[in-house]
Amino acid sequence: MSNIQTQSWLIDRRHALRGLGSFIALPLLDCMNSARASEVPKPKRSVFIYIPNGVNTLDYQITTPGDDYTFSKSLSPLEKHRSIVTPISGLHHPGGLGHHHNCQKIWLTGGKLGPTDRNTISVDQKMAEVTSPQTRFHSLEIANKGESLAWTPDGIRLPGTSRSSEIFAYLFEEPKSGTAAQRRALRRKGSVLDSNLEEVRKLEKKMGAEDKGRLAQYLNAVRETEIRTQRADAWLDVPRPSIAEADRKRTNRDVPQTQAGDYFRAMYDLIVLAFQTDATRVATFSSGVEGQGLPIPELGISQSRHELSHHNGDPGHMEKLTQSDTFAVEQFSYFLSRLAETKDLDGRPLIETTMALFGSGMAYGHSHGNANLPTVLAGGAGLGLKHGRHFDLNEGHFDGYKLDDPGHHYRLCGRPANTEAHMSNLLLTMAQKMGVETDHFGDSNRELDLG
Amino acid sequence: MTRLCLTLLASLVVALSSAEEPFEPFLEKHCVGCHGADKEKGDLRIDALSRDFKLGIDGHLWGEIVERINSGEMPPEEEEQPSENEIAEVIAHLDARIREGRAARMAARPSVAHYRLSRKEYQNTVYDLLGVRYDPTKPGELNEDPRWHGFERIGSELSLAPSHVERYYRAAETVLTRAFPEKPVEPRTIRKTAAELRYQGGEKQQVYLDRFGITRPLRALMFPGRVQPALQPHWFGQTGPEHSGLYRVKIKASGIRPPGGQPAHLRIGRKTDEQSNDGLIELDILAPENEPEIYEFEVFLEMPADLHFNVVATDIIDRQKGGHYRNALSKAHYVFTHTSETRLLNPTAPKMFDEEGNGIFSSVLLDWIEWEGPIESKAEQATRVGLRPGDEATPEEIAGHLQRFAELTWRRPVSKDELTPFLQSYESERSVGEGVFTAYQVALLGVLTSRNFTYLVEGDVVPRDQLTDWELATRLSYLLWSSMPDKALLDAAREGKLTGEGDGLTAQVDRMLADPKINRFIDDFPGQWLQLHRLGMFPPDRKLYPSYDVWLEASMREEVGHYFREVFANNLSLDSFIHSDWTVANPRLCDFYGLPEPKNSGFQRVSFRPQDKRGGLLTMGGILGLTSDGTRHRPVHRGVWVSEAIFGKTPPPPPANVDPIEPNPPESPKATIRQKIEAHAENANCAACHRNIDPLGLAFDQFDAIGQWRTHERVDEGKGSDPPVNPSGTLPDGRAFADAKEFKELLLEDRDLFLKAFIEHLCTYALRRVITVDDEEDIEAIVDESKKQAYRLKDIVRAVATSNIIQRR
Repeated sequence: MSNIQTQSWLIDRRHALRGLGSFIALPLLDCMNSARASEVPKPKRSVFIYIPNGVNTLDYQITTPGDDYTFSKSLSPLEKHRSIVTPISGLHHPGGLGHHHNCQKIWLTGGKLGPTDRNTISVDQKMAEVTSPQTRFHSLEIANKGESLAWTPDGIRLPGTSRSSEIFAYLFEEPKSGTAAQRRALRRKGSVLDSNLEEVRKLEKKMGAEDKGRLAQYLNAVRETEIRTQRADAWLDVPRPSIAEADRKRTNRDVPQTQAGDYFRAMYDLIVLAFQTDATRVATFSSGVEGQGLPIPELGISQSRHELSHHNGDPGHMEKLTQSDTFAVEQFSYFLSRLAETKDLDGRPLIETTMALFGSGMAYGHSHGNANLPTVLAGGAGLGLKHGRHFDLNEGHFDGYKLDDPGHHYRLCGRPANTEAHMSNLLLTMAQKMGVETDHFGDSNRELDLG
Repeated sequence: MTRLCLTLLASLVVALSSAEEPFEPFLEKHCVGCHGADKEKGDLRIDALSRDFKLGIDGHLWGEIVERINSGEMPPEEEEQPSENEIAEVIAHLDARIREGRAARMAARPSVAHYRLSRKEYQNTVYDLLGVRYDPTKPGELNEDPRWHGFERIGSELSLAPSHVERYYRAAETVLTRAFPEKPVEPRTIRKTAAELRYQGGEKQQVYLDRFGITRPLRALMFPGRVQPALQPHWFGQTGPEHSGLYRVKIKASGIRPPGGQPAHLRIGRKTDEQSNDGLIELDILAPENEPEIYEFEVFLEMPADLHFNVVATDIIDRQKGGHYRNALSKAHYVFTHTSETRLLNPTAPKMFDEEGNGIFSSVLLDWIEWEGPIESKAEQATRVGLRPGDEATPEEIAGHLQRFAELTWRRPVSKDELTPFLQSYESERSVGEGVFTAYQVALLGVLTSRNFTYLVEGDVVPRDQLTDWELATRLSYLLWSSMPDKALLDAAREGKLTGEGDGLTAQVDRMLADPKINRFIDDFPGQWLQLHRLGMFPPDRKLYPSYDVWLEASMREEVGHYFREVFANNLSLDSFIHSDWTVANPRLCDFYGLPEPKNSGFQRVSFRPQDKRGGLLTMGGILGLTSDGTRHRPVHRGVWVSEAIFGKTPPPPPANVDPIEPNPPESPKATIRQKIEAHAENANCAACHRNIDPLGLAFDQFDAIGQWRTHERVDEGKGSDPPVNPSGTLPDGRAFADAKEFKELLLEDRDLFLKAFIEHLCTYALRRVITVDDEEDIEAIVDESKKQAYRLKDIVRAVATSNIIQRR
């Protein structure tokens, strides 16, 4: 294990000592013994939640900027969290404009969408590069239809998991084969990866400095896998966290997606549990792909969000879309409540160390308007976020919201008023708060002043 | 090209050698005044930008320029405005140059090039190599392959991330465990009767039947709108991944068809929600109630499998419309034996049959289901003969074994030296006390996860232009079989027959075209060429399209493949893709197209009459539907699709910030999408491109979002009645057409453009890269050969497989 024993492996001893509901019982690892152990910073966490197809923007838009704002109809479930949320208006991904439903692919990447453009790394994965050395799992991708929000540096989408029991087993259950067998399997894997690396290196040497194309990528991928295999080996000695019965009941079960509210809450509970036990510090949750956002049978909504978003101006459809939006916000509000009531290992609420971003890559679904994106940022006070205001980036770039003139407002949702207000700026700022050392992300052009 | 179908398309072919770019005069006249040596507005000097599009140094700035001109932002209002034609030309020229540059970069080949196998190819290859069935698309297995215009095997797209390495490793472990199980897996059989499936054994119900003196046995009535178990993991007892494989399924069943309604359609697959499942097995149950039939088929299952029955129909008993109905019919005390006895047995239950005993819903009556497996054929077992070294094998014998396996797996000769690292891992396993075969498997794992297996590797450290025999054998077999070369092909490569003089190559290609494995080409290529993956991406709104269901969608998808197969098998002309008076359809599609219902289920060749308005690929439901968005048809998307699939050209992208098409206001007259687009396109900037794209899609305006024939467009909001649709149009070269039929006639006049595009698609598929202007000469040679062969499909494929380009890197 000596090869992975670096400063990044320091684990706060208090993590091992405090037991609050669910806890990790860490044995005294070598990596915890360090003169600087007491200086280990608090964990930093981020979670990203996507709702497909935008919103009924007429009922969603908050119209006054600053501290003294009134929640809109569909955002009203967040009223009770006023002090820990910031609704943000006016952001857009320049690369997403005019690209319809593909906006989901670049929501967290700020990448370009074109026949020959390749997507780029998503911000959660950028963050995970910094956080993953401290946790058993690199990151957690939940996606009700399997297509996650997370993308690798090579622009490959990571697969997502949709079933709560599967996620629970992955995070918390010890594989049945036992430590010795697992260790043997990992050593075998290490050995196989090694022989492949060696075979490639022979060729690489022959090739010299010229363009190696896929070869270089192959080497990097195999090397990175090797590092992860070594980490997994080290983690074998750390028992999985024991989960309180109440938490287990809440999360280790399969909820059909037709019970939308229950499904959302089970997923949110899982994320809370993953953070609470420090299984991972980065999570994404795609609550639907653009073509198949969940219907909400419990509200009598049988249409997918995609069908609702193409409402063709029909008042009944638009009302249902608002109900579906409000419903999604309610579930998010539930998540924030859970984060606020759940204690981190140092006894502080989890919400302080957790930034939660909720939103869509589309604003006005009927015409695929990809500007003025619905965005709510919450939590993360311990990371330096300040809340309590409606952060309106349209302000000063337009002549005000005119919700009684839908065409006017829809145009704002299709063409950015403030062309400098890139969504990547928000992602950059969040990455920085997570400890990623960079001054740019995607097509960012500045940081956002989030306190 | 004396006669041009589309001036835009023609203008995309820009001579490379021209001293001055054709867009320079426009830039000089409209741009350089402000963005040049005198003024440098926005820090942009257009005159100083790099014109080397291949290197792509200023690519993003050129892209920006196209965008600004396209959107009408530039030149600014106060300056002299260019005409629509000028805009169209400059954008087409610039876009073509940018695109060429990109294509060149995408097609760039380092001295050693690596093209990763797609999931499908991986699956086929491990089957041909080890006789092992493995499903890489199962959640948690191999990652989905990114597509480039539908093609899922483009080298520059198929990159590799750590998550791929992890998954390849796991896949190799699975494959090897299946090839060499610790103990042999014996096939098992399980049969479940209706009594077990539906009535928990049926003892109570039997008492009930006896009381009425009913002698008929219990049957399971399966109605549309609720899934029921067809195979559950515990049925076989202890079941794990080692039991995966081919299973034989037998079902004894009959169907209830309402008068004038749909035949009962049974779908078996993984449950997706309480009323739907994936389509693993699709069956029309045509046997009448009194003459149930045994339906038998084979299917590959990843175990443990949890499968459900689902009766697919457009008229279903769902929770919203019939919650009570549903519950009552699902309970164990709803007892079914025969239509005629239903009222007697269930006097208070909801009615499933009318007074004459006719069904109200399409339903399936199940007697029993039987599963048997895993079944392994002799041929599958034979692939592994001799691969396993003896338990007493010496290191030399191990090395010899590994070398033979590596040569098969890597599809080329392998030196002992190359295998050293893998033999080392064998040795290190041995040294910690593992047995010979356990340790050997680690070496096999190494060979199976090597880049030499998961990639097709072409080229050497010293650059060369021609493929070797081995590389050519691999390219041919992945083109025609989507898998590794077989022994005969490898032998031909070893003897140097493929690249040598003589007819070695032709002989092999002819042999491969006649081999049943050619079906993999027929299964893979059309779907990728035609971007069929887009079908169903936005499921049609059930309210707007009540006649649509998942079985119709699956049938539409299959129609394309069957049609292609028929054209291929009979070596028909490419014209058949544009127009014909026949198709290959099943009863569901015949009903959809308004054709007489065929007697048999399954796909069969059927004829179109002129009044059916169909023929060729372009009027198939699947093709018309794949560009729709679930609620409406999208003529512009249809136009772009025609341009790409038929002419092989992608129009310039739209500017980013187009004003949205608003919903029809309730107080204004109803308008078709065409009318709204046309209002849109009055703007010169829009019209510049849309005049080239839109007619290609508007020609099909008589087909709605799911491809149904119509004369009027359904518009929900607005005043007056639904407006009539207008499928007429004019191509940019002035040729007019009245409707889809005439449009197709114009396409047939342009068959040479289609032929060339089709060959380019085939070459993209074969070479796993984008075709560039540098390939022009090779492509033209195939075009000439194909014309000599009267545009016949199989001959075209043969011409590609024996061409110069296929032998070149």
